Amino acid sequence: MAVIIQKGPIGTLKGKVGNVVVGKWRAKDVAKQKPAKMHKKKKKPQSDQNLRLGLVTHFLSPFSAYVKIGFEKKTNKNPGFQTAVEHNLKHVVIGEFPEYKIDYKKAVFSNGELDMAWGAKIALNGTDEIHVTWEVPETSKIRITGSDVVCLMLYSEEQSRLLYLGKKTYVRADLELTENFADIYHGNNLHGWLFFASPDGKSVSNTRYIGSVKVPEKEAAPAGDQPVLTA
Amino acid sequence: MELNIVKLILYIMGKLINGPMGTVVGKVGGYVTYFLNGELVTRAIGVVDHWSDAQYAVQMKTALITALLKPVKPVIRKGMKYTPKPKRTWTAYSMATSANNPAAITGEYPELKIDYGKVVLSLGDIPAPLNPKVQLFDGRISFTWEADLDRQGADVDDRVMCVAYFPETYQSFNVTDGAKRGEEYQEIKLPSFTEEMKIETYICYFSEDRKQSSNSVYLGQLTWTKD
Repeated sequence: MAVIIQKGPIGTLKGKVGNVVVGKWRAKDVAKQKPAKMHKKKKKPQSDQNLRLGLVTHFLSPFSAYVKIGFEKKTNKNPGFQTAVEHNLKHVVIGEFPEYKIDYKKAVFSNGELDMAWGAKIALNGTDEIHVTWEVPETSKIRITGSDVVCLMLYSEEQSRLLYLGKKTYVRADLELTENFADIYHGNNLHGWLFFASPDGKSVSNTRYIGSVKVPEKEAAPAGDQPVLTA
Repeated sequence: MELNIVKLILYIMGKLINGPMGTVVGKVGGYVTYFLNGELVTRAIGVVDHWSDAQYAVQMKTALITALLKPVKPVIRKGMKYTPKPKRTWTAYSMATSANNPAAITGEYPELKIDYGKVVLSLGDIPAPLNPKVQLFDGRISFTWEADLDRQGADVDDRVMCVAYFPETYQSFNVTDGAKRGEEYQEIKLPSFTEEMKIETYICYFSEDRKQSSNSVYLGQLTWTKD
């Protein structure tokens, strides 16, 4: 892989030129050789690794914004997402080939020195409101750690995506959080994780799995309550 | 002839500390030399793509000890700040790493484990706490000890540091400014119960001027269950 230091007279290229592919990687312009096509049939151990890698990458891809907060560091050689894949590949995958599964309890999206969330609980209010609480232990100084930003992730197992929880920012000193979510998640199993990031975003806490909830199916509205259209 | 011998002796007497070519700083072949905290160090440089089993074992030991010591840094910084160290460049944290690696590790690679009974979090001259005990009840960890004021080196104003370490999640509750020696009681209140966890507990003293400390004492493992 070559790094292009000086830009040519026609600017920077992007894409394929003959056998060379030019692109951007970690804010550097790089040129690589065109990848060769695989002709050999995949052996079992290789497809085993591919299966696990595919599973973890597919699982982590909706979390990329949070992984960037939790794992990205300027001193790291690898990008944050790559570090997260490396870590989760070791700990999260359970089961035997070819029936691998994700152990949601062990998923990790951040790694750092701040205090973790303690006594975190998740509950449903009605059918479309989520209520999350956490605690600050006595040994932790809330005056120092109270302004840490809360990063809450709710993941729908059925739809493999993250729930949108509004734009409001919560801090550690709030000790609780209530947000609405869309009704497309009715009947889904939701998993929650929580970590904290310092206000400058430079240090983070480890991730805590806070549990899962099952959103009940939406009840069909009684016929009498339907609004009647009048001409 | 005689003059030459005298000359030779003179040559032998001189010490070339920095070698015949002086001090080299920078990369020479596969090695790089530079000043680190006032010391001249040399190490290998370049891409290494495989290690031997013994090297993997050292890497695993370092990883285990780092995970252990990172959350208890505030305790180490107080407990080992004035401990005598072999070099001036050593910090409290490097002293703690040296005291625990590999002394607190048992087993053969790849089944290396931390022996929590041998972990040292503070080193010093004050006599260690006498008959310390720990109890977990109603979401509170209570530490008790005997004041033992007649002993030499014991002071009424000595304070305790208590540590409750959670080995499964690599977190800890540190009381770095605990009760006085005479009070004989210190507690750590745990947050609400969510899952069963193991807790390793330690206790040590430090003096009023914070310049002396005692060795840390391992109090045993507790299991945090819903009572």
